[in-house]
Amino acid sequence: MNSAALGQVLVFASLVLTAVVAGLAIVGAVRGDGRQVRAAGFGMRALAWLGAASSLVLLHAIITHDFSIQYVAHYSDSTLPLLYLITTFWGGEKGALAFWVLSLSVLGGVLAWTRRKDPSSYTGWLLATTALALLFFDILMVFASNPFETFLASGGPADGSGLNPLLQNPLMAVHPPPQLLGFIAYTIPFAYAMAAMASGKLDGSWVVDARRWSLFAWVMLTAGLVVGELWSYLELGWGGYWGWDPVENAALLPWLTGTAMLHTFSVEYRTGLLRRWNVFLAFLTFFLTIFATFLTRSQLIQSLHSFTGSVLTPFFLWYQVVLIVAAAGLILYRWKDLKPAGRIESFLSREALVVAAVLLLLMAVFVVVWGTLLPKFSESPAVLAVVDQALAAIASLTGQVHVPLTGAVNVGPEWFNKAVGPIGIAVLALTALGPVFALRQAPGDVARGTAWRTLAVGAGLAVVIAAALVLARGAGLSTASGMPFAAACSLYLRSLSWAGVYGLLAVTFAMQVLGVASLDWVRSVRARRSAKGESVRAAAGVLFRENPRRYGGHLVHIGVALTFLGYAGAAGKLVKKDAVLAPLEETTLGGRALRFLGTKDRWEPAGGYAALEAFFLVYPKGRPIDAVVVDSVRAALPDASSVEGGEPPFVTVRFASESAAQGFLVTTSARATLAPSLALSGVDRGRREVRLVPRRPEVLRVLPESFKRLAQAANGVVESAGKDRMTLRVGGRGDPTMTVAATDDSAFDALLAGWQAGDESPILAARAVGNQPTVVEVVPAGAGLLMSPEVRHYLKSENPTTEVEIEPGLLSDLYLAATPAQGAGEVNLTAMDHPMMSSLWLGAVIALLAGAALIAPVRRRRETVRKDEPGVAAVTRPAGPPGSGGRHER
Amino acid sequence: MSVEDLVFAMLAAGAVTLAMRAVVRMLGAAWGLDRGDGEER
Repeated sequence: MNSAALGQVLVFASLVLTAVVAGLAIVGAVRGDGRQVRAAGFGMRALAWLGAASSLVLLHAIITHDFSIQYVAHYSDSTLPLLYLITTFWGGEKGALAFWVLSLSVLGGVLAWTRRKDPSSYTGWLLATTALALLFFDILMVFASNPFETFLASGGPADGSGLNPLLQNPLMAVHPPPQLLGFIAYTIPFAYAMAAMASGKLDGSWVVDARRWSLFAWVMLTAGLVVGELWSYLELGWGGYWGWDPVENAALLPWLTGTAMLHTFSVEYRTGLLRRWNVFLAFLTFFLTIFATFLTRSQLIQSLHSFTGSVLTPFFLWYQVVLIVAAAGLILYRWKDLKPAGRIESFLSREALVVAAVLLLLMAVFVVVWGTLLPKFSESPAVLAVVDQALAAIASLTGQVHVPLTGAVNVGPEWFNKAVGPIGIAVLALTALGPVFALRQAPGDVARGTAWRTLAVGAGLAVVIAAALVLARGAGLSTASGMPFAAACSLYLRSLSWAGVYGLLAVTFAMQVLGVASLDWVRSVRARRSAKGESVRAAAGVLFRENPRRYGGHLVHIGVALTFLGYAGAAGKLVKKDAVLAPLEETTLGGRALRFLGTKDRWEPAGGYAALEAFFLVYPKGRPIDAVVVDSVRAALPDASSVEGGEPPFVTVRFASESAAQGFLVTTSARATLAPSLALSGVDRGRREVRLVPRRPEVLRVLPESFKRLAQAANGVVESAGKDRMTLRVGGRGDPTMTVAATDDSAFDALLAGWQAGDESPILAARAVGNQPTVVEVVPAGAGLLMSPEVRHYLKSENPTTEVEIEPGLLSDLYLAATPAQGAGEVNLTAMDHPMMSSLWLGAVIALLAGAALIAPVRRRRETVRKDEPGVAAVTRPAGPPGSGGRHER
Repeated sequence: MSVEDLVFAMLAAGAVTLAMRAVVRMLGAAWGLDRGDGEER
C-alpha cells in the first residue's frame, strides 16, 4: 500500500472511531454508566495513536518527496532542507488541518488518561465535547480538505512547487505549532465548562481541573504570538513586529479572553465568585479560536497571511452557529445553578479589579473585531450609511465637522494603536493594583491592610519615573536648542503626540507593575531570610513552590510589564529614516551615521536563492576616527607618502604620484566591487585586455538585472582609472561577458592586481578626491560596524523577501532593510532606531518561562497555611472553593 | 527500502498497534470486561 492510501485509511478510521467515541461518551454520560464512559476514554486514547500514525505517514510522504500526493507537491520540493520539509507539514491549509487533528487527538488522549479513574457523567460529557470538537475537524479533513488527496490523472509532477519563501525562516518553522496548539488546547477548558454544565457538577471543581489546561493553552498561544512578532520583525522588512493584520488580530482575540479566563479561574477557585464569567469566558475563548481560524482560512478578509480560497468557509460558519446555540442553551439552562457563592463587597478587592480587567479585555476584543471586520462590512452601502450616521451623530455631539464617508472604511495600524492602546494601558494599571488588594475584601479591610503602603510606594515610583523621563527629555531639548530648562520641559510635554502620551503612561504603569511585583518578592524573601535564615535563592524557591499562583503570577506580570516597556518604546521614541543612497553616500539616524558602501551578489545553492547584499558602515556621527584604525591603513599601504584620519569614516591617503594614486584606486575598486562577483576568464597581455564573466551564473537566472549592476560597477572602475586609460565593452544579448581594455601597462597591472589582492585588506572602499589627483580617500574596516541587509530572490518564487539586519542593543536596536533602487548602484534604505526591543523579548521570555513553570506539577500544598507565615501576610486567606475538598494545587 | 522508510514504518506500526490495543480495550470496557488500568477495582 502506498502512503496516500495508507493515510486515507487512517484518517477515515479516525473519523469513524471519533464518532463512536462521541456516541459512547454521550450514552455513558446520559445513563450515568461508567462502562461506556470508560470505553470512550480508551477510544480517545486510540484516537491519539491513530492521529500520530497518520501524521507519521504524511511526514514520511513529505520527507521522501512523494509528489503523487497533491499537498506534498504544492507545498514542498526536492531541494528543501529537512527543517523546511517538516515545516511543510503545517505550511498549507490541509496540513494545518492535519496538525489540528493530530494535536486535538493527542490532547484528548492525555485528557482521557488523566480522567481514567473517574468514569462519571462529568467525564462522559467532557470526552463527548472533546470528541465532537474533533469530529468536526475529522469531517473537514476527510471530506473537504484531505491532505492525502492524490492527482487523479497522473502520478504527480516530477518536482513540487516549493514552500512559500516567507515561511523559509527558522522562526517560521517554530511559529505555527505553538500558535495552533494554543488555539487547540482551549478546546479542553471549554469541554470542562460544558461537562460541568451538562452533568450539573457545578461545585467549581471544573475550574480546578481546567486551570492547568488553560495555562498550557495560554503559554502556547503567547509563545506563538511572540515568535510571530519576532518573525515579523526580522523577516518582513517593514520595521515593526505587530501590524494589526487580520490574522494577527484573529490570534490576539482568544489570547485576550484566555488571559481574562486565567484570572477569573483564580478568583472562582479561591472565593466561589465569578462562576458565570468562567463558563462564559471558557466558551468565548474556544469560540474565538474557531472564529480566528475561520477568519484566516476564509477569504473574508484580505490579509498578509493570504491563503488561497478555501472550501472550508461554509463548514466553519455552520460550526460557529452550532457552538453559539449549544453553549448559550446550556448556560441559560444552568443560569440559576451558576449563582456565585457571594457578592463582591468592595471596589478595592481583587475580584472587583479582576472583573474590571475582564471588562476591559472584552472591550479590546470588541474593538479588534470591529476594526478587523469593518473594512469588509462597510463595503455594503447599507452598513456604510449606518456607520456614517453614527459618526455624524458623534460629530454633532462633540461639535466637530463631519466629513461624509464615500467608500469602504479602511482602518490601519494607527487606528488600532489609538483604540487598543488606552485599553492596554488601563489593564496594565489594574495589573499593578490587583496583587496589592486581597480577595474577599470588605471596605474596612482596605484601610487597615498593608495595601495602601505598597500602593503608595508603587505610585511614588511610577511618578518619579514619569517625571524623570520628562525631565530627561527636557534636558536633552534644552541643551540641543539652548532654551531654558523649564521651557524645554513644557515644550516637550505640549509637543507629545497621542502615541507619545500612551508611551509615557505605559512606561509609568509598567514601572508600577514592576515595582509592586518585585517589592512583594523582595519583602517575602527578606521575611523568610530573617525568620528561617534561608539563602535568597532557597527562600525564592520555597516561595514559588509554596504559593506558585502568587509568586509565579508576579513573575508573569513582571514579564508583561517589560513587554509593555517595549511597546511603549515603539509608541514614543521610534526613529525611522528612509533614504535612497548611491555608493559611498551617507545618511544619519539619531546620533549615528550610515554610509552605503555598495552591493554584492551571493548564490545560496542550499536555499535555492540569489541574495543581493547591501553593505553599510555604521559609526557615531562626528567622532574622529581612532588612531589605531588609521595605523592599520598605514601598515597596509607602505607605498603611501602619508596617511591621516579624514572626515569619518574616511582616511586620507596621499601618494607620491598621480599614477600611483590612480593605480591604487583601480586595484581597490576592482578588488572590492568586481572580484567578488566577476571571474577572470581570459587575460590578453598583448592587447592589455581582460575578459570578465559572472562567478555565479545561477544568480543571473534568478536575477537577470544583476548583470546591469555588475556592468555599472565595472564602469565605475574604468572611470576611476582616469581619462582614456581604460575602456569597457559589455557583451550583447545572451552574452554575459565584459571586456576591460587598458591603454597602458600600469593601468592594466593595477586592474589585474584587484584579483590577486585577496580578501585580507582592511580597506572596504576607496574614492578619488576631486581636485587632488594624488589623494585617495579610503574607508577602513575598523571605522565602524559593517551591516548587510539583503534581498533574496528564490528560484521558485516570484516574490523576493527582505532579510533585515539588526544590531541589537540594551536600550535600542538599530534596524536596517535595503532594497535595490532605480539609479545606478543605488539602494532604498529603511533605517530605524527601535527603542526597548530587548525589554520586549526579555519580558516575553520571563512571562513564558514563569507560565510554563506554573503548569508543571507542584508539590502538594500544606492543607493549612499559618497566618503569620512570611510572604502570605498581605492576603487574607479564604476557605477553599466550595466543594473542591481542600486547597491543594493541581 | 531506505533508512527513513524503515524508521517511519516502525514508528507508524507502533502507533497503529497501540491504537488497536486501545480499541480492543474500548470494546472490552463497553461490555464491562475491562475495568481500566491503575484504578480501584
